[in-house]
Amino acid sequence: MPIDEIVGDSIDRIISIEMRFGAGLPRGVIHRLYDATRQKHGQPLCFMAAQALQKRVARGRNVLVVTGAGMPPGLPKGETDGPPGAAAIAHALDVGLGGKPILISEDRNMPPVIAAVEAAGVAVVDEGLFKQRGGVALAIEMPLGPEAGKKAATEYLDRYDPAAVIFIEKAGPNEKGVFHSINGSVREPKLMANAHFIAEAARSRGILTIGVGDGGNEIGCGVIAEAARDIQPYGRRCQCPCQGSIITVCETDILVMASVSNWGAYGIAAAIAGLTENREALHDEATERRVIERCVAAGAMDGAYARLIPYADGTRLEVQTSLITLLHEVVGNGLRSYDRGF
Amino acid sequence: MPLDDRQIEIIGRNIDRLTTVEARISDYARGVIANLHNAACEAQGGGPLSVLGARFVLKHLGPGKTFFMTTGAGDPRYLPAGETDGPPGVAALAHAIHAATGAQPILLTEAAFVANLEATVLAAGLGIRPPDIATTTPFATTVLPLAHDDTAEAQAASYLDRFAPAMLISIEKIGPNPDGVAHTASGKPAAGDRARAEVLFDLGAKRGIASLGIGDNGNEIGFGLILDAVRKYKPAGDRLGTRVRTDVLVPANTSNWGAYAIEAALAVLLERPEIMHNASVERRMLEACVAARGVDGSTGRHILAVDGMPAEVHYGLVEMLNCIVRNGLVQGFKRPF
Repeated sequence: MPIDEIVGDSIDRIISIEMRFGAGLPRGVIHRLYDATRQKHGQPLCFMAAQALQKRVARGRNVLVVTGAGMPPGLPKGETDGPPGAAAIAHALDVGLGGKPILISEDRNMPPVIAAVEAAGVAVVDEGLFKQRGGVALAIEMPLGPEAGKKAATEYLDRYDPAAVIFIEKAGPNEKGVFHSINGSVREPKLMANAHFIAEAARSRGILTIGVGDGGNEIGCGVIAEAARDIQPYGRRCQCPCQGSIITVCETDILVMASVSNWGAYGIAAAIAGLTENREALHDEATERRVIERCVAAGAMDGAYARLIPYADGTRLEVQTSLITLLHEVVGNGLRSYDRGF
Repeated sequence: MPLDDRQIEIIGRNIDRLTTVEARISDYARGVIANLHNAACEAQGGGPLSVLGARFVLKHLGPGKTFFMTTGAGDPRYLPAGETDGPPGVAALAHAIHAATGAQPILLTEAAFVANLEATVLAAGLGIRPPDIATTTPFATTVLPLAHDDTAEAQAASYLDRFAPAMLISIEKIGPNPDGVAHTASGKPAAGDRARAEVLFDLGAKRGIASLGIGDNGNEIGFGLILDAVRKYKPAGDRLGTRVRTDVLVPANTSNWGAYAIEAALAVLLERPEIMHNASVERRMLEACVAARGVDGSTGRHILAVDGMPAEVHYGLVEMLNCIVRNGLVQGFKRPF
């Protein structure tokens, strides 16, 4: 029997444990953001996202996986939160559902994305080969700025007819169209892939959209914008001249709120594994290790330290592999019963 | 600069959250622990319970004092030397409390489980000594037998008289329901040779000795504090819910994890991260416990697992607790963007 919502709640609990530094990043926010989202959706979040994907993504259908956070000078090739999540989703789509992942990110952020996805066993190939076979992914560099972004969004949907779009740790604009870091600093729209146009276009066409975030500034968090504005220190006013909120207005059909966005993606992969009764849809610890190491080797930095170390949001590699172990345990035990005899 | 109450609460909430992830193999532990934990929070001022437990320990224990810890769940056929849930929790928390306060631990379990508990305690870094030496020797303890029959009353009185403990701590120790019958987690009557630790806790309560209970199902000493919730949320809770309450109750997915939660909170409160044991100590404890014939309680097998969860899950949990503690203690960090 596939897993149920009880197991779904355990998955959510694992991915929403806050382990951040005592200083430098907002604290005590994750469970509040999570609770607001859980209340809004009325279901365990990863479970809900996985169930929707299972329903929509037929074998051979394309799925857009959009990621890549940060910009120079802090994070010149992006950060380690995002690409490993995309790798987990690409792997789960492929192994669990037979879906075909198409990776979308900024040109500067793409090398770590490709490195991470390939480390998870999904080769990134050219479009000709992508159409011919499964087990592979396609990578598309999204142009920067709002005008090019708007145009690209429509093109992607026309050209690839995706069954779903998943955004992982992908910045979205506030009510004034400006992007921000969690600490309130500006990220000029002209220097970012304006991926929210993909979300808007997909929603207008009835294509499933899923956002995975950990702060409120990521695509999808518009779902809980009001709550997030009260929860985040810069939720009412940023630190840049726009004087708006850091919280994005961009909504997705489903929002998965996690402590680290990667973890939300791992949780979705775990729920796919549970729903398809195929444990292999969730990657293992050795793969996780390889994904993080390759991602860093390709230039992604830890987003908290802003350094080239194998961490995600200030939590070390062993924590990532431990999280995978726990997720596997919850899913594995959710799929079996045992009579101990006493 | 010491952490303020809000910072401590945030860290504690996440320790609680991690140690109440329901990851067990069991059909009778599904959708239960979060509810028991919530009820325990409500009954004790809101939580987090890891911090509540740690503050309680720091309030009552210090140099020159002793404290009792009891554990031991068994079954003559499946668990003749006790299980793997309990001894590692006792060993790690005994070590942590001693390191944190200087108080001396005295450990109590069924005579048949003494070897298991001693082996696990040694692996955690506490020496085993005769009782009179253990009470005055740093990083040492002693393991004493606990009676299952009608000698329990006299034994409890003599232990309390002799050692004058300032606190009684129970980890994964079954207690009877209001009708005086004790049950396993699946609601079957507990083994007849079960040590009657409740006698010790009853007498301790009469004498006004502080008490702390840690458990994972509702049949363990401490859960009398939220008996109604056990009956409401736990399968067979009407039968197995114990009457025995403690001053402070900390529920967790597996009892060891509840002990680790208090350990982590001690490390945070004292800002001494080394108080929280690491994954290599966890490995040593589990291996020692199983080598001393400790059995996985969910499968009844001699395997490196606790409540059906393989050792790697516990190494991972300890790794994550260490991360919560260490990152929580980082101060003055500023990211430039």
